Amino acid sequence: MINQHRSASKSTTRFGHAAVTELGWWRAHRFLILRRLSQLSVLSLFAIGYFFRFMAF
Amino acid sequence: MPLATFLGLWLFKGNLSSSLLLDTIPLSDPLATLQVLMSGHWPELSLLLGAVIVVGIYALLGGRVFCSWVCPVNIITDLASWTRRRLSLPRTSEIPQNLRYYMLALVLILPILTGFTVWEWLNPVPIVYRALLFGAGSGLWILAVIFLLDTFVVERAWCSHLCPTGALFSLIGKVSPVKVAAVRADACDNCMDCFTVCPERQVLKPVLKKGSTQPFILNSDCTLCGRCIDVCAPRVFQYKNRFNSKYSNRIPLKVESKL
Ligand code: SF4
Ligand code: SF4
Repeated sequence: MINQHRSASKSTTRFGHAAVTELGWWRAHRFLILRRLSQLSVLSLFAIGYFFRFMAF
Repeated sequence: MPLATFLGLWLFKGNLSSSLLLDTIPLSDPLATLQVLMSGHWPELSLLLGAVIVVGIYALLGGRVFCSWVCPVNIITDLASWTRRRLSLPRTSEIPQNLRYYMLALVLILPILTGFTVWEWLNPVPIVYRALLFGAGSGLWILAVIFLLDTFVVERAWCSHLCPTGALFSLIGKVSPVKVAAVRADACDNCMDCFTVCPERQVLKPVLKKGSTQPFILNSDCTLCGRCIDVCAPRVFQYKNRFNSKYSNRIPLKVESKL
């Protein structure tokens, strides 16, 4: 199983394909998705903070 | 108390340069605070305290965790790298990685000379916030320049070579316990995918090169983005505490690495 990804030829498959085949889509994109969620959450927390500040004062 | 204030209490107030969490805990951008100090003005206590708190948080979590997990500019520069990969653009010539430390020095010297926090007008990090929160489009050209620079001139030019905020967080990260470790470096099959995807590829060499006994990516330029973990089919990398002695010793790597 560990060597399964070797069979995927780099030149014919998309970049990162070996990881998707071996680990599955979620595990091959886990930190990317979590990072985007984190970045967007911080952004929206500030946005909501502003929104309510305008509402309240 | 109106519902809005009640809810507002739970949220950030302010922006990435200076804000209040839960209406009580100050958070401020250490670089902005340093600039205020350099300009000769004594900042408000809450700004200083906020910077100390933020430095503490990132010293614990890993300095450039800010870059890959918080900074909105990172989304733009990642898009640029993705575009480069999709268009199969050739590698560009390297500019020195330590240019960002000269940028940091410059950003801190300018307030001494001018008395103003000059960089805050150009800093793309708060510009994204201003643009999104107030619809202030005045600095958006800087973001466009960064995208075009990263995509067509020098790959990863901004975040990996120039940004002084990234440089400061890299310095903060030197003491952090959280690191990415090549826990299964012996399973590496030299596919070079991590090297392709990593925004700071120079940090990968010490843990993957032949004869390496160091599993931890100690170079604090590593943004702890986890891309190398995601992209690696043989599961070489993991987030680890570098003070956990279980991983601190390993037999020298025998694989002949192309790195
Ligand atoms: S290097 Fe600068 S612009 Fe890039 S992610 Fe880090 S702080 Fe943001
Ligand atoms: S070594 Fe891994 S975690 Fe660090 S910057 Fe490169 S891809 Fe991201």
